[in-house]
Amino acid sequence: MCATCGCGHSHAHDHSHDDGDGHGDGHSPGHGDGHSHGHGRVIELEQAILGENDRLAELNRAFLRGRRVLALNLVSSPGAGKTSLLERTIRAFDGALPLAVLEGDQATDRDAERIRAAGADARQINTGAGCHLDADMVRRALETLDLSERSLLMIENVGNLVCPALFDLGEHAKVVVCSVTEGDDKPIKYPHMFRASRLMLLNKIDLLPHVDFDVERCVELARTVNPEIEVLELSARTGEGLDAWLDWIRARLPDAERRPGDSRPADAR
Amino acid sequence: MRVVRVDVGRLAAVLPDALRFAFELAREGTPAEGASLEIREIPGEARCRACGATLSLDRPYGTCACGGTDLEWLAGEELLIREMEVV
Repeated sequence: MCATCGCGHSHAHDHSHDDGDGHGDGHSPGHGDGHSHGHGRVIELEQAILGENDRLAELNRAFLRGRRVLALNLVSSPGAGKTSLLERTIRAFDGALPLAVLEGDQATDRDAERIRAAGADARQINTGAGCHLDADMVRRALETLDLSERSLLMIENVGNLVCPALFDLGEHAKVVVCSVTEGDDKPIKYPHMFRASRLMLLNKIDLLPHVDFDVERCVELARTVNPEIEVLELSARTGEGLDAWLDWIRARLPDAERRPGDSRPADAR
Repeated sequence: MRVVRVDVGRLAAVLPDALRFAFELAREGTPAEGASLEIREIPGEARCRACGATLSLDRPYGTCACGGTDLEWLAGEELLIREMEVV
C-alpha cells in the first residue's frame, strides 16, 4: 500500500514524495530509488523501539512489588563513588535491612566482590561491549537472587551518564551520583540523566575545600533540567550526610509511612 | 523489506546520523538487508507549567518567556518504528 494515497498496487504516482508526508529529511538524489517504481506493501507498526525493554521492565517492577522490594537504579559517570557508597550503605544498615546488589560493569566481578565483602548478596552483570544495563539483563539476574520480602535491591548501573537514562529496568527510582571532583555543570551537560533521576547525591563533599565545585550552581542546574529532583550531599568516605540518605531509603521502603509533602506514591508498595 | 520508517524526537537522546550508521550495520544478513531507513525528526515542544504558554525545545530543558523552567513535554520524545515497506 502506498503510504501517501493508500492504494494497494503500483501505478503512476502524481504526488511528490518531498511534501512532508513522513519520508523524512536527508533525501539526497538517488537515495530514494524505491519511490521511482511501484511501491511495496506498507506494514504499519507504530512500535516503540524500546518497547520490549519497557515491557520487561514492567515485569521486573511487578515482580519486585510483589515481594515488596524497593529497587533503586544507581547511575553516574565512572568514578563518582557508586560502589563506595554502596559499601558504606550496606555497613550502615548492618543487616537491619536485607539488601542485595546487582553490579553492572563491562568486565570483571571486582565490584561484586567488594559488595560481598561489605556484607550483602551481589550478582555481577558483565555487559561486555554494552554501555548500560537493560531490563532483560536485570530480569535474568533477578532469577538467580534469593530476595527477601521487604528488602532493598540496589542496581549499580554501568558508569555512564548517557545511555542508562533511556533504559527502564523496573526500578522504583533512578538515583544519580555526582561527585564534587567532576564539573558542577554536569546536570546540563548530561540533561537526560538528571531529568530521569529522582534524587541527586552529591558525593565526596569532604573534598569541597580542595576543588572549585560550586554546590549551589550544580543544584540550580540540576533543577533547571528537572525541577522536581531531590538533592542530598554526602561523603561515602567519611560518612558525612549518610543519615539523610539512609532516611531517604527508609521513607521509600514498602512499609514506610509516607512523609508529609511527599506527593509521589510509594509505588514500591 | 525495502524501507523502514522511524520517528525520532529531538528530545529522545538519539542521534539520527548514529541511528543511520547503526542501521547499515545491523541490517546485514537480515530481511532488512538492502532496505533504506527513513527518519522523521519530531521537533521538541513543551508547555510551561507556570503560565501555560507553549514553546519549542531543541534540547531537553529550556526557559519559557515568563522565566518558568518547569515544563511539561508535549512532543519530541518519540522513538518508534512507524512502518515498514515490503516487496
